[in-house]
Amino acid sequence: MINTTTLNNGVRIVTQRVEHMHTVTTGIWVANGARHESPGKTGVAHFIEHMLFKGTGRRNARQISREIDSIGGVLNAFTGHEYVCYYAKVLAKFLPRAADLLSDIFLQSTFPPDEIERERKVILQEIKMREDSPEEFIHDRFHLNYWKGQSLGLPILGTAETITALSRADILSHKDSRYRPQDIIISAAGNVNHEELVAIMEPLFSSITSTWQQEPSDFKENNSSVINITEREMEQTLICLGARGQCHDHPDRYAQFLLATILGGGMSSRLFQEVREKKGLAYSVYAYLISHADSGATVIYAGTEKANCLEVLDIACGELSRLVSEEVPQDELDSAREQLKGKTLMSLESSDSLMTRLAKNEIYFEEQQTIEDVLANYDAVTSQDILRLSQQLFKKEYLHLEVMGPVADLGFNEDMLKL
Amino acid sequence: MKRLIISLCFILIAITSAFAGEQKLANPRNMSFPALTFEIPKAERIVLECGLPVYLLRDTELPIVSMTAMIHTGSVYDPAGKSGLASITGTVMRSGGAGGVKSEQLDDELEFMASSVESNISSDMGTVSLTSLTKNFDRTVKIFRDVLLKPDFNQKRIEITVKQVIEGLRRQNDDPKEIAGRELGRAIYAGHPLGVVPTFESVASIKRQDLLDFHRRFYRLDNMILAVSGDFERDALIKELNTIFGTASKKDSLVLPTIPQPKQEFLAEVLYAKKDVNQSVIRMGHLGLTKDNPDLYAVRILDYILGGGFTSRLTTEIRTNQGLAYSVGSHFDIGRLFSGSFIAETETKAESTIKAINLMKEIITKMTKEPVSDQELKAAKEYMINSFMFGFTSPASIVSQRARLEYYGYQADYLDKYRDNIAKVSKEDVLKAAQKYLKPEAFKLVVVGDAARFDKPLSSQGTVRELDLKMNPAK
Repeated sequence: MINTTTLNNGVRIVTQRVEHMHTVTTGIWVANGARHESPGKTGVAHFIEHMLFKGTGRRNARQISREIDSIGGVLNAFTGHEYVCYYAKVLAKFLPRAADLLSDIFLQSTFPPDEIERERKVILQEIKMREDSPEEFIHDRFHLNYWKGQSLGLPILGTAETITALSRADILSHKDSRYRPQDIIISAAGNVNHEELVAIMEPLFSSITSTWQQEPSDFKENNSSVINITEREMEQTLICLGARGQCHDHPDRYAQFLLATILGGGMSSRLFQEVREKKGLAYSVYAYLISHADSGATVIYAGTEKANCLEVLDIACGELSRLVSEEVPQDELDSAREQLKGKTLMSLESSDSLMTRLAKNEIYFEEQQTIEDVLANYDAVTSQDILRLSQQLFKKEYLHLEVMGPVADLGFNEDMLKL
Repeated sequence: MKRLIISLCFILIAITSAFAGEQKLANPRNMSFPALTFEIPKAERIVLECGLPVYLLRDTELPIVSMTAMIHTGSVYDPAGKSGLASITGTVMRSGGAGGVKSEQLDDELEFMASSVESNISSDMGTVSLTSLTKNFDRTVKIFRDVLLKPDFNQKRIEITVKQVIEGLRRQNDDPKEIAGRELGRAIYAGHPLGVVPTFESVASIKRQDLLDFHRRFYRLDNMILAVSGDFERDALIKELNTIFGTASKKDSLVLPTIPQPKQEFLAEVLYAKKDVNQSVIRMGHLGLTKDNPDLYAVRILDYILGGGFTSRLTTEIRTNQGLAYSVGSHFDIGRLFSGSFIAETETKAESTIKAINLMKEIITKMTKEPVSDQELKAAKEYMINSFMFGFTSPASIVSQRARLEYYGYQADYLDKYRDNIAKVSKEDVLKAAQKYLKPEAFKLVVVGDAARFDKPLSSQGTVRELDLKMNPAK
């Protein structure tokens, strides 16, 4: 059962009680993230995420870690382009302690200057580590370049330059303004009592205020195809081929999930069968969606030997063309539909995914969707919907190709992007 | 019960009101809670008519059934010169068609039912697993049986898988962490099957008959255990499993090849792989211990304090205090059938490579010199006892735990006594364990990065053997 309480200042508390679970996962979300940073302060949202574990008026950094460890729980956080989340997973009986700890770090962190300096070094290491992993690097590159020149095209971690330049005042200013009540969502799932959680959180969160106003979206559609090459001495070649995608709350989102599943979502998907199973051209190939509040992308990824990379690209373009020109056969659509419906049901087994689902429903839909609604929406998608959507999203001038590897001599050019 | 809830609500309201005004009042950290009365859920053990042991745990919260077969096999049984055979067998059992049904048809059918059947072989276990909506279980379990016992090993699929594995070997050299992990494993288990990795030649030499032979040798009903959980009717399920697996067939008695334990040699070595990357990847370690070791619980505590969590000594000093790394830690991988390993790891910028190595060794050495503090011991015990239950959060994890304990031959009361055994560990036990099982002077040290940018020569750690990444792994 899902319960929602909205505090006077707009903070939302939403819970889903699942009595048979022994655990509770609780998250405090902020519905703005890296794309809402001030110009030149790239990385500050993620920096704050690190700093909230570095000490409060009641606990120093070590006490924070010790406390969650002492109850055998998990305390962690993550930052995205449009949200930040701090969460704890504990045995149900420890929920009051977890809620106290989470709210303390969220509301009372002190940002000690010496801790800022230490954490700055850690984040610089984190940036370097990500650059050294080819697969993480190419996905990051794709995101940065697909939304180049826009707020979504800035790196969540920041750059060495911006992280080095961030001051304590920058950090505090971002937190004070962006952690505004209407963007704060407290979500919890598992063996949780809604009234108990509200009783703990309401006195703590009801006095938060902020006058910050979110800027209107700066998203601009890209209407010309792009090829970016990152030349790197490597054994393999990595490709990300992207086309347009829909935003989170778009009416076609269920058709889009099905489209991505048919294209590259599982072992029977077209790309997996054609590229990996029939021809053995790639070790790894799949398609995925990136969805934000105002825009999205459909991305095909493949890791392949240099000698095969042009053929893989050709097949990927061919599969997009096929989706644009032919209706998906009914049995193939039904198969993808059942696959997604099954995954939706199976996700109900985890308090973590339930907690995330509650918060994302609030962030992107401002209401809770029932599982029955989700399943019905999948059922309503037709082959004609998939064809119409494919024709909208997949056009040559929308294609964006990122390539990474020793490919300078392959002569990549726009003629290779055939649709 | 109602009264308890009302009382609890009262306490909570009192606490939160206190927070709203004066934070020095009640503090949830000081609240007392009733002792945890978590009983480890029991799974029923039955034996099918064919002799196959099955652990069962019914749970009807969701209309889902999960099933896993654990088969006594592993890459440790790869024949000489055919390294990679077990892994390829595990993959093609699923991808190469089964029971006369082509793989494409299997994929389509399973995905249409939102079912999954997966097969895998690790170093010391084969698994075939199933997840299905209850309504589709009858069909899915037949596919599961065919993948497990009647794989077709389609020739074309074998060829494709071989190509993919070779591609995977090539890919490993693009990722400095994969290189470091692979090379440390080879160094620690040198001369043992656990230290052998597939090569282009060994993989290319694998033929369909090798897969058939390997499968026939290990995938027998008298060589596996089954674990089933989820939404099923007990008697109907047992009847169905008996129908599917039939009665015991007359076969030669099973004799698994004997694999010796790794040689208990502790010789220091310094291995370096040149890679043009931002960060140096550092791995160091040596052989560890097995699950039957009486010092197991002291080692678990030691492990947590040294490198197991965000409050560990390694993280506190190297990440939190020095900012040298984003990620640092260490871990005793407890061996089940063979000696496990101890591995410490981090990544740091090239210019602080030797500083980080020395610091890690220093912190590890200190564990062998002085007892841990009372606070460290208490925190470690609390964490390990309170987090114990997270291993039993789903019915599937509960039956899998039970089956795995039988598979590896754990004591029957291992789980039941685990928390008591952890609670009994003393500071002296931890120190003795550290002195016995940590040997920093005998570390195999692997560094992947650009030595020209290191803060000091890597030779300060010992004689350096450079690895040639252009060459085939294991050459």
